[in-house]
Amino acid sequence: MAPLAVVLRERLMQFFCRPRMAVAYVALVLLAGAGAGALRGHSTAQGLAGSLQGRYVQSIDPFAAVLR
Amino acid sequence: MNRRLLFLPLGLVLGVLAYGVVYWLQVREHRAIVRAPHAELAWLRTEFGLSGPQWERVAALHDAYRPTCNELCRQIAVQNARLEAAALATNRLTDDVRALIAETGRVRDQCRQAMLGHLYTVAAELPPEAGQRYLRLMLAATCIVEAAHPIDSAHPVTGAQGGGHAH
Repeated sequence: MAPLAVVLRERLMQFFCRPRMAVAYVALVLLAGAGAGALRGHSTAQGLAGSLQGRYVQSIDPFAAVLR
Repeated sequence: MNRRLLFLPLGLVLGVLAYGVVYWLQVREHRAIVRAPHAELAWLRTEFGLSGPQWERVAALHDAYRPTCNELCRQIAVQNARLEAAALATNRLTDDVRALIAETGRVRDQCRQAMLGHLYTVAAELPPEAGQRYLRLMLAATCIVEAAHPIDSAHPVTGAQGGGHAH
């Protein structure tokens, strides 16, 4: 029985032999990367917007500035 | 290594690049705002869609209010320190502690009045609906209207009194 690494390598070569599959793989990875980046970016942007609101409140509320 | 297998790491690199580029595009504007002067006012600008002249007037009002705010901050810090020292120096409610509590309340009221006055002047610079929304947001976020526990949650209603505060 062939070692797992060899089998995997063979399967991958067969997979990437087909141009459609190779293009689909690259497209999928690009899409996944862009999607993950968009989600994380959105969450970071919301966090930054929230921190700006907090900074504004701190700049006008003496109690927020002293106690929080 | 077979050239075809290069698709595997190449795809991963492209995926990571796509992640980085999209992430950067999403946050670059916000990061620039955070680093800009008057960053705390940038929130107002984006949240309420202020025009250039409106933003300049609001920034001027903000700058004019700052010395008052700083002075009140100083008074609150001094008063809190005095009250804490007096409260820790005894184990009963002395006249001195009572007077300091009253004085702390006076400073707090003064602070709330100054802040509410500032909120009204800023709200007046915004379009009416935005001004109302600004006031609602700020009243919820600042100490002007103090947040308290819901009436029935911390003081359970007893006996046949029905609803209401159980003091």
